[in-house]
Amino acid sequence: MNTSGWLQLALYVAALALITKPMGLYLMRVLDPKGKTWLDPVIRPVERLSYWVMGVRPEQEQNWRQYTWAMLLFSLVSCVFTYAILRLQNFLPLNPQHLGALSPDLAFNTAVSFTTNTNWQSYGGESTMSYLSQMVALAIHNFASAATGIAIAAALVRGIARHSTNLLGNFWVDLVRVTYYLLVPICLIFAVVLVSQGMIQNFKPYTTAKLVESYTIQVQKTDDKGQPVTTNVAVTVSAPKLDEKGQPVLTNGVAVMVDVPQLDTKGQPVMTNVAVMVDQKVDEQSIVQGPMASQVAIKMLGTNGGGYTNANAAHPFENPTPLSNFLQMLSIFSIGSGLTYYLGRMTKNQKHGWAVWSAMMILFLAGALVAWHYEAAGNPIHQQLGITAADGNMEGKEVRFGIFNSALFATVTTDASCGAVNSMHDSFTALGGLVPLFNMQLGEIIFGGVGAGLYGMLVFVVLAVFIAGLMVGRTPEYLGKKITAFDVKMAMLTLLILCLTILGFSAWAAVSAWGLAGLNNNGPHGLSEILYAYSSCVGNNGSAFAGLSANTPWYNTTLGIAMLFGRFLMIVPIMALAGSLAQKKLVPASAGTFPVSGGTFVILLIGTILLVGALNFLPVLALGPIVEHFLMLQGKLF
Amino acid sequence: VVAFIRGGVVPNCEIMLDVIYIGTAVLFFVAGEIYAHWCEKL
Repeated sequence: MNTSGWLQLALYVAALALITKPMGLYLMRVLDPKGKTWLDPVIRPVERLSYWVMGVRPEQEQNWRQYTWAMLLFSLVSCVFTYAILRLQNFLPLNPQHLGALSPDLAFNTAVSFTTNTNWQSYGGESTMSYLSQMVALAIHNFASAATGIAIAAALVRGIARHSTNLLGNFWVDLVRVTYYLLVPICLIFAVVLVSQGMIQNFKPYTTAKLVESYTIQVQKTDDKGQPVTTNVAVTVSAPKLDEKGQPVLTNGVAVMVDVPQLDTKGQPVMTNVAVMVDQKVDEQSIVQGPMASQVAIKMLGTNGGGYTNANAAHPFENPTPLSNFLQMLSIFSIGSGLTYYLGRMTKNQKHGWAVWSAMMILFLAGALVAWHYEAAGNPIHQQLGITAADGNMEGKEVRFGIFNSALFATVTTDASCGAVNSMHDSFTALGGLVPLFNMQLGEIIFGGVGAGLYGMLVFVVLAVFIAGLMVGRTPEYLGKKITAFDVKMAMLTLLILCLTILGFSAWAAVSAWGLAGLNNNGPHGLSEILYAYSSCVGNNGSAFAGLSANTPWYNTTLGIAMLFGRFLMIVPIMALAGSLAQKKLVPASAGTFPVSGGTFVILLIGTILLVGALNFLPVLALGPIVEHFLMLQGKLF
Repeated sequence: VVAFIRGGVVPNCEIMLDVIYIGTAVLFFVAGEIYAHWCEKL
């Protein structure tokens, strides 16, 4: 943990604090259908035209059921649209690499993934997706799913701010205005800034380059017709080595094993066909091209996270400089941070907005410092092998970014539901990797996914207020509204869906042949890989412990369903909560009213979040990263 | 729609899978409306 890291952390926090108010004020205008912005002369006509084409009456507001149904309908249609493009991409234009169609299970997983703002990728972008798929099927979702999240957050904030009404706004208006006035303009500027840093933006076919130093790989030999050539060989099994007397040979008390031919019931060797492998010299490299900057801008701003390339933000084209790295991290939190200011403005209690922001900031700093500490401390087993302790744990990290920027990026991307990575989380130390895992299991409410972070945090606010009410024996109140049994049921339903879906699917995979088949590591790390995958998908994050081979029909399907559960089964009770709060009458504050600003509230809110997170997930974390850490100290790695 | 467009281009088993996956998505979102109704009654 060096001075450079501390300075960068301070700069990051200061920059985030600085943009919070301007972003919040701009959100006030964007989320008000009559709000005026400096973009009105250009965008207002397009906005009106969009309403006309969609048959939307912008002045007509919706109750929570209508708002939710509109959101579900939009998500369904856009999900099927993406599925169709991915299945048909080999027939569609803008495919200079002639990439084939995706398999049905991969197309389902990907379509759901981008519809739900998860952007989990069971594929390598540059080797799977045509330019059309990247731009139309995926990038459009990056805008639409982000706008949907912000719209839901706005509806909940309206529910808190309004009283004696059942109207929460119009989903179509929120969707259009957030996309047109917020996401598209910022992304246009952001993409140009990224291009200035060296990020590519073109439609060229991939470039082929001669390697400076060729290398040899083993490939399957094929005949003239392109069919694999096989040969018949004896099957071998492992058996104890025997000495001349027929006794097992021991080394340090352990039997020495040797390969011996496997025999059938008649004593004949069992034979099998295996592929014939031949050496192939590789002296060329394919270098990715395409419209990357435009995709990356919304990938970060909209907390989508799906990489244009498989290496995501660790790829030099996708994250060329330290400045691009800093701006990408800042953009992940920018809207989530601004939404806390929007909350304060809308509820006419700016201190409450800043209290929520402070709770988020404290949790973020705690996570970043823990991850940084354990990555900087490194792996003692590696150090015994001669790696300098001061280098920390550099496995799976980009040398350009080093320990601090990798740990910070991992924390930011999992506090938010972004999922972009600039290092491989699977290679983090056990407790360094626990931070991103736990962040996702908390529901990604620390600034969080655009919109999703705020509405997730407000669920915890309702619970914190409820607990405070229980402690003093009063009916809990939140900003002048009595919190009733229905509100707490909706808040609890949201949290139960999160933990039940993560733990249920993880448990299923951990005891199933299909689940275990995807593992590249055994022991507690294998469990962490499965747990990370479902935490990431249910939390709509999208990052991965890359040791898991998840591109199989079972994983693609179950992870896809987990994403649907994590997004929509949580949004519905949140919208019900919004509808309930909007209908309530205001109660004047009294001496017994619990203040939702100030240090006591912040501590109670953080305590509630950590308590719920620990109760739900500590047992499984103890079996995964925590036991892995203690085993590492005993000299065992997985 | 996908099955119709791709008719004869891909094996029948894949068309069947297309129908199953799209059907799953449609059912899920329709169930979302029923779920919302259930939430309201809680």
